[in-house]
Amino acid sequence: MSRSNYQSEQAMTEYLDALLLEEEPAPVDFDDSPVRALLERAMPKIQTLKPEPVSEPEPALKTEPALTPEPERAPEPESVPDVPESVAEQDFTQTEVAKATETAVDADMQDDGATPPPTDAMMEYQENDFQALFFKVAGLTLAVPLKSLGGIHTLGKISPLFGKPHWFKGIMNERGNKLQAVDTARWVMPEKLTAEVEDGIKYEYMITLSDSPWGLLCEELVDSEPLQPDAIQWRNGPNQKRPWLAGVVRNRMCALLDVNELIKLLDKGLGHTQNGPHNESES
Amino acid sequence: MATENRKTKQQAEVDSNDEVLQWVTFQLEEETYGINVMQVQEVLRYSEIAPVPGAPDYVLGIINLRGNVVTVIDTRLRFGLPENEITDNTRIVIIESDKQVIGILVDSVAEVVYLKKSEIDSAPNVGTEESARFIQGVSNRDGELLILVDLDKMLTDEEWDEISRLG
Repeated sequence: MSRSNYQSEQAMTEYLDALLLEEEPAPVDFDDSPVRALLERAMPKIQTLKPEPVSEPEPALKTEPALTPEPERAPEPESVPDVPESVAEQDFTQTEVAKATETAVDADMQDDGATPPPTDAMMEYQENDFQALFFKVAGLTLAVPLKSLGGIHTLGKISPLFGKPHWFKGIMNERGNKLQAVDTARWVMPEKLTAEVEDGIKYEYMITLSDSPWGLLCEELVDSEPLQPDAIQWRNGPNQKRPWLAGVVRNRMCALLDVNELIKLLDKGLGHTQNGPHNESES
Repeated sequence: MATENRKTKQQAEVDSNDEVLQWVTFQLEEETYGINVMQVQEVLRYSEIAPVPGAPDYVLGIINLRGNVVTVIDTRLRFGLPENEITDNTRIVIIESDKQVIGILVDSVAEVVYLKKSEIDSAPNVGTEESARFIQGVSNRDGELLILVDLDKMLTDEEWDEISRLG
């Protein structure tokens, strides 16, 4: 076991231990009609793409306790390393998420309680169940709340523009709308991208973010799943290094995106870390 | 009735303010670019470009245009694109900016298109690279993206001065 994996598991175990001491949250009622509408838009694509879904199809979003995601909500500490098979095969995925997790935990630890509240959308997700879409890029699984999605588009021709950052793939014309394509792999994990990995990436879809023109390119739409707030290790403090990371979906060990923060960064032309060397432009 | 008349009037005002501009379109690396037709003097078939020793890398060389020396710019290099072979479709577009007359080498010249100002959007404001500043805007044309180039900004003032010394 690598040192970083061990550290992340230890951090996760400690976090889960702390969670175990907390009271069970009561089921929450919420208006799920917007989520349903988005889900209806997303599901045909997902079903078409994934004739043999990774997980069993989830029933329509309800608020009953029975909806608790399949994996244990309060797992034994030793069960934490038992990552689902689909994720376990991706060593570098785990490493990436582990790093992200460490960062989030670090941020929490550095946080002395004087932290600004999370963004409105994230606050809502932290209080209520929500549906999330899982997608893959270069072996890395990412999750995004369906409510924060603008749409899912099959990839068409992308016209590159010169003088833009490496991660800015160009503009895709979609029914008269000019969508701005983000090379997700280059944006999220530029340091992991070897020429070999990059050559192997075959983007097929664009996931647009909220009402913005920004769209994340992805290789595969995995599935969508209702998540409960406590299924996620939330970023509690302001994650100065990765503000786009809302938290980590524990049972899948994947990053949950904070769409609003992500849009803000993209609008500013910034890369995935605020102190990294990856904001450079195309040369 | 009065409301309808007012609306029609407003629409007419909007239409009259929506100036139509003509753009000469050319292609580079499968992308279509447009330059203001008012800046285009003529389009030439490719002819031998004489290299100029000591010229900056963005200068391909010079051509003799009816007795006048015209500097030809390496458009691909300027746009950050890889080199390409000269083909039968290769053209030199002679343009007149407010600084001077230059030629730009392009893969091919397509057509002249009419665009209303309202059909032109600004390019995404990301990237600090120098070359980003000469994208004037983008527009959808028959389902394709047309990238409109501001030729005056294709070179800096210093570069324009440098070119004028070559001629």
